[in-house]
Parts: sequence; structure tokens; C-alpha cells
Amino acid sequence: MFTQLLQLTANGLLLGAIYALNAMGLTLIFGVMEIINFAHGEFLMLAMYGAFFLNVWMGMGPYVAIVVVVPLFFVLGVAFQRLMIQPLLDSQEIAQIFATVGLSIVLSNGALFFFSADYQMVRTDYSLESLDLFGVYLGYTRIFAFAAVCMVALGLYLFMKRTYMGRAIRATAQDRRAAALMGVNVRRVYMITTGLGLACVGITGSVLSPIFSVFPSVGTQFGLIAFVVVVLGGMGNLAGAFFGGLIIGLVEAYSGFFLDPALKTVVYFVVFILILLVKPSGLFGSTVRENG
Amino acid sequence: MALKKTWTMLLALALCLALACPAAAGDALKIGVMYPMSGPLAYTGQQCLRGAEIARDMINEAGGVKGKKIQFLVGDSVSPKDAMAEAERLITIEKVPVISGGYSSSNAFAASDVCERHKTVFWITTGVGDPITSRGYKYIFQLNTRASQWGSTTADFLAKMAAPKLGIKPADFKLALIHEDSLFGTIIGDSCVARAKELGLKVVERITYSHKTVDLSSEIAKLKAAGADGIVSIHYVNDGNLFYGQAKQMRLNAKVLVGSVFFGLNQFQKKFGSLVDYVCVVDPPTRVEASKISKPAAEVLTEFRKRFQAKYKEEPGDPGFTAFGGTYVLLKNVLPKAKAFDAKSIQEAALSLDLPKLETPYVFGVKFEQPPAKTAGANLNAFPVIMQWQKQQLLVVYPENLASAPVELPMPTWKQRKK
Repeated sequence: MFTQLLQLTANGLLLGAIYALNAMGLTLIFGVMEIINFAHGEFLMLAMYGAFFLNVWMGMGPYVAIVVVVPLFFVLGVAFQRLMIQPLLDSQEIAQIFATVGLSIVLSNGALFFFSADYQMVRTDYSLESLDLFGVYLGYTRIFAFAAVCMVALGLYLFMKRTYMGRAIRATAQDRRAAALMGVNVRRVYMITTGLGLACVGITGSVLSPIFSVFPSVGTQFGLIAFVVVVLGGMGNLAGAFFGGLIIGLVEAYSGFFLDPALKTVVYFVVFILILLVKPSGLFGSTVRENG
Repeated sequence: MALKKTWTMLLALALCLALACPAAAGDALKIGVMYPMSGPLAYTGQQCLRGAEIARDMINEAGGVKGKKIQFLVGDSVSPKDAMAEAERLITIEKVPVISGGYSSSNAFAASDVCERHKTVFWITTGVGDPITSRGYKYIFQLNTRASQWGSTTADFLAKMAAPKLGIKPADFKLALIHEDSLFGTIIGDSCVARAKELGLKVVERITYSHKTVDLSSEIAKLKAAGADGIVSIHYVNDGNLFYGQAKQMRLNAKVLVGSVFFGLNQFQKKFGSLVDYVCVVDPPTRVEASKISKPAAEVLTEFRKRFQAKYKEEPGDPGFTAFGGTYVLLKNVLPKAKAFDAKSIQEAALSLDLPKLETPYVFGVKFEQPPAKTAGANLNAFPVIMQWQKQQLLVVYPENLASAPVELPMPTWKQRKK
């Protein structure tokens, strides 16, 4: 029984870490620009395809592919911000929503057209292996994903706290006009933030590629969970996204075992609703932004 | 001003009339074809369309139907809602007298209402859900073995072949089921459990999940806790892949494992290599040896395999095979028999079919339950088989009269496989 509990906890944390990483990218973009990127799941799908093609064409392992995918997605993020988000920043929210929803449809169907519906898999020698820790089995690919998430979380934390750009980002998130008055180049902050957000997605996609099949609509489910985690943890709050992801992972694992696996999604949505009723701004509130 | 308005209205009216007119008949016979071409089931839908297209090409090359070529008008049935919309479009705008296709069962079920309402023949090559043909509908034909047969055949296999081979009495045989929660998985699950209980097997666990899931670790943890002798996993493609990979990672063992869809695809063998050995799958009889079916049918089947392999560089899987077989029967045995190219004539021709088992490229026969029976349209001559991977080849093991090899059990544990 104890081993079972340990296994469930391990499963929950490992899965939750993936949810967390995915959500951190989303919450960063929202926290600074108040734009909800509905195409987030589709960017994840593209990152997974990126890692897949690098593996198939150049024999790159998924963790090596990170080195290529991350800068690529950073640039993609900057372009995305410059071409799609910047022009819409002062528009009505409905226009922003439609734009990113439209983008998600274009991306997923574009992928279907160019890559076909075939399920692709990144095969590595260790994809199916697991570590046996006193009877608790931990898949290696998931351990690596967990390690990646912790490193990214730590890196982002240090970046936000210790660097000028990190402080500039936080300042812009708090009050964009005041930040501009203080000499912060707000436009550049926006581009870097989106770049960082999509770089997170790039890492998530790379570490996910050996764990889960790659196909055009793989982004939908992950995108949905990302939204749940972001709102749960507090929109714009990186720590919230990190811990929120872990919590959702754990809730899923436990409820799946002790209640009914078919109710997994229902349970975490119920938990999500309950937390919001008690604390509407999310678990960690919103410390990145204070006023609109 | 008034004149301009009149002209505009006349122009608009003319345009409407032009659009409303059905397309010129031409020399092609147009039939509707509906499979999921996008979304989570797109892979299997694409495979189905490939099989169907080869059937069409083979018939067209041999002169078509009554001298006319067959043309496909394809609809994309991603979900039940889309299936209904696409069926509506194919029937009311394209005016087809018959729609062929119908993967998956939930989508086919939704579209069947639309077809029956419009009195258009729905020739379901792949969808297996029983409710599709349980309402006394007259225009709906379900070619494939019904899901309930998949479930009961699996239970039969476990009780009559697997348990004795393992040296376990049926009464002591512990069975656990895990299945996806749409029409497909649920009906197979229900029928498997019902038959298992009839045969005296002990059902110790039954787990359901959504086939769109990203993680099955809780489900597998529960299966491990159940400690079953046999596990039946009814899944599609992506969830099947997830299930087997996580079963390996979490060391879920069983003496016998029967799966569906994904376990019968080449992709399964490509991903897992020698780890597929000993895994069983319940499927339409795609791999029954040519020697066991009638010669003309075997020739058509061989031709199909050759064309598929040449065009797509891989063996056709179950979706391609069933779509091919069903479409071939429609184009070869039904349409030529129909008095005219309209729904009523096609329906009558379909109801008059009497093709015995093992005499179609489908391997099973085609003979429909007649209306006014509640299960009108169900194929009485269809049946599933159990196959097993042996040395990375898929061989039929049950029923015995169609088997290519005896079943090899027990399945080794993951630890044993590591050697």
C-alpha cells in the first residue's frame, strides 16, 4: 500500500511537472501583456514536431534538440508578438481572443495538411525504460522532463529577480505606463516576454516528444490543462503555474486511483472551481501585476 | 432605381437557382464517402479512405459499374456533430444516393439518423457499435462485426482457449478490463463482461477512460492492484500506444493481454519491436490465410495488399482492410444489382445480398437482417477473430478452424523480456 502511494505521488509529480512547464509559458505572456494565447497548445504541438523532425532528419536526441528548438521558439515568440500581439494590444479583448483562436485553428490544420495525421514517435533507447526505486517505477523520460522543469523554473526565477530585464518585465507587468516613464523599453519587454514564453513551450515540446505521440491535435488537451493550471495558480504568477501544475498532476493521480479514472478530469475541475470560489485570484494571487 | 433593384433581384434569383441545381450528371456515379480526415481519429480515417480508394480504382479499371466510373465525394466526420453536418451536406447538396464509411461508431451513429431521415443508404464499412443497427432503421447497413461480438468473442477466447492453455479453471480466471468510453469501447466492454460472467470467469476490475487522455498512470496503477490473470484493453491508436508504453514503464504484467485497433497495426510493431510478441488483438479477420478463403476472394485480397503496399509502402492494417472490403462489396455486388442509381434501388439490392462467410475479400460474408426486425441492417455473416503477435508477425489463433498457429501463452513478464 505504501509503495502504491509512493508510486501515485511520483506519477503525479512527474506528470504535474510537465503541466507546470507548459503553463509557465502561458502565464508569463498573460501576466505581462494580459493576452490569453489560445494558440498555446498548438505552439506546443509545433515544438513537439520540431523535436521529432530534428530526431528523424539529424538523429538528435530530444534533449539535444532543446538547444536548437529553444532559440528557434524564442525567435518565433518575438515574431508572434511583433506581428500578431502588438497590433492587438489596445484592441478590444474579443479581437484578441478571435485572433489567437484563429491562429490555433490555422496551426493545427496547417500541421494536418503538411505533416498528415500520422502519429509520430520519437524513439530513443530509453523511451520505454524506467528506474526501479524500491518498487516505485519512474520512467526515465519523465525523470528528465521533471529535471528540465525544475531547471527552467529556477532559471526563470533567477532571471526575474536578478537581471535588469527580469525587473523590467516585472515592472511592466505591474504598471506599463509607470515602467515606460522609468525608462523601460516596453515594446522590447513585450517581445522578450513572448520569446521567453514560447521558449518554455519549446522545452516542453522537446521533453514531451519521447513520452507522448506527436500528431496535429495533440495540443488541444495540453492547452486546456495549461489554462486550468494558469487560472488555478493565479494568472501571471510563475510560482503559481509551477505549483499549480504539480497540484493538478497529484490530484489527477490520486483521484484516478482512489475514485475512478474516468472521473480524473472532473475531479481536478471541481478542485479548480472550489479554489477559485475561495480565492478568485488563484492560489498565489497575482503578484506580477497589481493594477491594470 | 426600381429597375436597378429588379435587376439585382433577378440576378440574385438566377444565382440561387444555378446553385440549387444538382451538378450535371456526367458520366460518373457519385457516392458519398465519410471518414474522419482530421482530429484525433484522422490516422485511421486516412487509412480507411486509402483502402476505399483502392477498391474504387480496382472496380473502375475493370469497367466501373454498368459502364460508368465511380467518383468519391469525401466528407470529414471528425466528431458526431461534424458527421451529421457532413452527411446532411452530401445528401442535400451533393444529392448522393448512398454514403459509405462511418468510422468511428459514435460518428456513424450520429450520421445514421440523418441518412434514415433522408432515406439515403448509409453503408457503414467500419463502425461496429450495436446501437447503430438496433432501431429498426431501413436504410442503414452495418457491414462490420458488431462491437458486442468483439466482446463476446474475446471472452470466449479467454475461457475456451487461453484459460485451459494457462492451466487455470475458468472459475478461477481473474479478468480485468480497461476501455475507452465512447460507443466502441463501452459496448465491447459490456458484452465482454456479460459473456465472461456467463462462462464463469471472475471479472475483478473494469476501468474506463477518454481516448483523448494524455496519461494512463492511475489506470495502470489500478490494474496492477487488481492482479488479474488476463487483461482486455479496448483502445484506439494513441491511447493504445500510451497504454502499452506506460504498462512497460510501470511493469504491468498479465498472463494474457488482448487489445484492439492499435495492437493490430504495423505501427505497434514498428514502435515496440520484439516487445509485441505474445500480445493478442481482437479484430476483423484481416489476416486469415488465403488458403482458408475462396479462391476468387483470395485473389482480390492479394491484389489489394499488393496495391496498398506499392502505393503506401506498408501493409494495410485493419482500418484499410475493412474499408476496402466493405467498399468493394458495395461497388461489385450491390450497385450493379441495383435497378437504378437511387437510394431505394440500392437499399433493395443490399437487402437481397447473400454472400457466405469466407467468400468475400472481407473474409466474412454479407447477409443483412431484414426489416422490420429491430436489428435490420446488421450483417449476420460477420465475425471477429483473435490474433496474436508471434515473432513480430500477426497470426490468427482463434477460432481454431481459421487459426494459422496455436496460441503461445503465458505472456512473459517485463522482467523476463529483458533477457
